[in-house]
Amino acid sequence: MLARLGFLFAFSVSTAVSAQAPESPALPALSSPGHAVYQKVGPMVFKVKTAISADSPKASYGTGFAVAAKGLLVTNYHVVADAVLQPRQNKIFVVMDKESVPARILGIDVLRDLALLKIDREFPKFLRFASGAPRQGEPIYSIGEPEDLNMAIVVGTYNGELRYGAYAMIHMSSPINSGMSGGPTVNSRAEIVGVNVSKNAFSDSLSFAVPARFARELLEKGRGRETPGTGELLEEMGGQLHAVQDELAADYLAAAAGAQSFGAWRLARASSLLKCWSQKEEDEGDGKYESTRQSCQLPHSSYVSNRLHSGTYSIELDAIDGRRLKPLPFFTLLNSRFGNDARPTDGLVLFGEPGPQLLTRQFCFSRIAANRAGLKFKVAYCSRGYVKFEGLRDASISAASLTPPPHGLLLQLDLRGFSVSNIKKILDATLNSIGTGT
Amino acid sequence: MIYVKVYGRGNAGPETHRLESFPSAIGRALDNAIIVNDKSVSAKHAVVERTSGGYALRDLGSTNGISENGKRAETIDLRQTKSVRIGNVWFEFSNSEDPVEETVRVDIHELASGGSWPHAKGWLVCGGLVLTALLVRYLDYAFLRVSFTAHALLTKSLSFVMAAAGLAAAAAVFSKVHRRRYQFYPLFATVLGFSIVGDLHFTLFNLVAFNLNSPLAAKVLDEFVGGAVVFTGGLLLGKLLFPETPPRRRAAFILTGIVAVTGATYGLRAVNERAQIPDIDTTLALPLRSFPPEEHGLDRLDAEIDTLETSIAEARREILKKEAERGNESTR
Repeated sequence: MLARLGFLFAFSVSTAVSAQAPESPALPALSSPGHAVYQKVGPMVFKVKTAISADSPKASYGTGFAVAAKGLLVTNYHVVADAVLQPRQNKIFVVMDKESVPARILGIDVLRDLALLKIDREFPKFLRFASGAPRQGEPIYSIGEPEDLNMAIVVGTYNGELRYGAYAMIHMSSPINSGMSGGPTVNSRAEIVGVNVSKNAFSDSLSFAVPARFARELLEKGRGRETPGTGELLEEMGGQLHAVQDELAADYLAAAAGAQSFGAWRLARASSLLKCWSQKEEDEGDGKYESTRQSCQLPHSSYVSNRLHSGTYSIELDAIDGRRLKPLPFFTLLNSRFGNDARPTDGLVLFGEPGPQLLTRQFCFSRIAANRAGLKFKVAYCSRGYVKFEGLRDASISAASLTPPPHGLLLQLDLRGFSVSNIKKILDATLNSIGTGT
Repeated sequence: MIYVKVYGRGNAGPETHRLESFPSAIGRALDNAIIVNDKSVSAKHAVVERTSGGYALRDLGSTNGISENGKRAETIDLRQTKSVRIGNVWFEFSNSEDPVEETVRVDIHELASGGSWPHAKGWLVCGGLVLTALLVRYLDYAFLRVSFTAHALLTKSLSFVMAAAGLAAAAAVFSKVHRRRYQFYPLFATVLGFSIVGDLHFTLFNLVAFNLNSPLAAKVLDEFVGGAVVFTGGLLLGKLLFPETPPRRRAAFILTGIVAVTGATYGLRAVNERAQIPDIDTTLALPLRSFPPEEHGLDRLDAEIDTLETSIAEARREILKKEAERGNESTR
C-alpha cells in the first residue's frame, strides 16, 4: 500500500514537472499532439463532486466539461445520481481552482448516462462537438481526473460505435479509470467525440464513451431551461426508462414471432440485440442425460443507481434430454434445477440496505399453466416495483416443462425495468412459442 | 454382613439393603430377601451364601443368569466389593456400608460392547436396522435419484460406523459421569431408526410433491410428519439417556425444543422475506394427474400477476409515505 502510494506521488510530481515543460519553446507542438490537445481542452474540464456542503469531503466525484458559455457542463448521470436520488444529503459542486461552485441539474438522459449541469459562472472557452465520428483506428484523447489524483489525458483509439436498440456506445481502446467518468473524449482537433462513461472491468484498456450526439441533444433541450425540481427530473427519467423498455419489448416480441429450434424443442427466436452463449454437456449424471444450455443477455442497461440497473433483460434456457432416465429420477433432476434457478437474484440482506429505497420488496407466486399448444409448465414468478418510477417492475420468471420424459425444458427470464403489460406480453409470447419437435 | 445396592431401571438412586442372615435369595418372587421387579429377573434368581472365606453369589439356574465384567458366571465371590448384573439389573455388593469410590458399578467395556441387550439380540437388531437403512437408501437412489453410486451407500455405511463409535464413547463417558448404566445397543438402534425414517420421509416427500402437486400436502408432510418423527425419536432417546427425569418433563422439554427450532426457522424466513427473498414453491409435479388445460391457461398467470400487482403497489405507497414523513421531519 505504501509502495503504491509512493508510486502515485512520484507519478503526480512528474506530471507537475512536465506540465511546466511546454513553456519552453524547445519542443514543437506538432511532435506531441497529446500535449497540444491537453493544453486546449484541459482548462475546460473540471472535477465534479457531490457532497453535503461545499467544504465537506465528497460523497462521489467524477469529471465534467464546459459545453456553453453560460455555465453549462456535461457529465455522467452516474456522477451526480446521489444528488437526484437523495437530494437532501447530496448537493453538486464543480471544483474550479480548488473552489467548490454549486451546480444544478438542467437535464438527464438516463439511458445514455448523461447529465447537463449549470453553474452561475461564465466559461471564457468551452468545448465544441465534432461534426462526425472519427474513423476506426484514429487516436482519441480522454480527459478526466482518475482516482482523485490530478487531471489526466489518456490516448486511445476509436473502434467504432456499438448499438443495442436505443443504447449506443463508442468502443475505445484506452486505459481510462474511475474518476474520469463524465470527462470528454476528443479527437486530435480537440472536438468532442464522446463522454467517458465506463470500462470493462474484466479486460484491459477496453473502455466506452457515450457518442457526442446524445450530449449535444441534451444540451439543445436544456439550454435556457428553468432549473427543474428533483420530482420533474425523476419524471423525465421515468419517461425515458418507460420508452426504452417499450422499445426492447417490441423488439423481443418481433423476434419471438420467429422460431428457433433448441434441443428437442421449438421456441421463440432470441432478439438480435442479445449476446448469447451456449454449451452442451453430453454425459451428465453418469451419462444418463444431456443438457443443452443457452444464455443470452442484453449487454447494456440504464444506470439508475449502483444497485439498480434498469432497461435490460436476460434469458436462459436449459434443455434436458433424459432418454436413459426413469420418470421419477427425470423429474427429480428437473426439480432440482428448477429450484436452483428460481430464486430471486438479489442476495440476502439481513441488516437493511444503505441508501435510498429504490425498489419494493419482492412478491412471488408459483403456478401451473398450460400454453396454447397444451404443454404444461410450472411457473415461478417474482416481481418488485420501482419506488421512484411508477409502473416499472423487475420480474424474475422461472418456468419448467411438465411434459412426460425424456425431454425437459427450463427457462429463466429476468426483466429489469419493464411495465407490467410488457412483462405479461413477453411471458405469454415466450411460453406460447414453446412446442416440441424441431 | 453384606450391603447391597440395587440400581433399578428409572430409579432416582440405588435402593440399599443389608443382608444379615444367610442364605438370602434374590428374585422377582415376594418370598425373596431382595425383591427385584424386573422382567429380566427370574422368580428365584440367585442366592447370597456364606463361604469359608466370606460370601458368594450363586445362580439358581435363572434364565438370564448373573454376570461379572460381562461374563456369565455360576458363582461370584463377594469377598471384595463387586458390581454384578443380575438379569438386566445392576447390583453392588460390599462388606462395608460406604464402598470406596473406585468400585464404580459400571464396567465401561461391557457397556460399550454389550449394554443390557445381550450381544446376540443387539447385533441382530442393529445389524437388521443397518441393512434396512441401506436398503431404503438404495431404493431412494434406484427410484428417485438420477444416478446410483456405490459411493453413496459406502458413505452411508461409514456414517453408521462413525455414529456407533461416537455413541459408544458417549455412553462410556455418560456412564462414568452419571454413575449410571447407559445402553449402547438401544441407543444405536434409535439412531438407525431415525436414519431410516428420515430417508423414508424425504423419499415420501418427493413422491407426494411430485404426484399431488399440492404444496399444502407437501408442507403438512414436511412440518407435521417431520415434527412427529422428531418428537417420537426424541422421546425414545430421552428415555434412554435421562431415565431419572419424569416422562412428562422429558416430553415437555422435547416439545419445547421442537417448537423453539421451528419458531426460529420461521422467524428467519420472515427476516428473509423482509430482505426481499420470499418463499416460492419450486417443486414440480409429475404429470400423473391430468390437469384440465382450460383451468390453467396463460390468462390465469396474468390474473396472478394482477393480484401480485396490488401488493407491489401497496408496498410502493408505503415506502413513499414513509419517505414523505422523513422528509417532513428533516425540514422541520
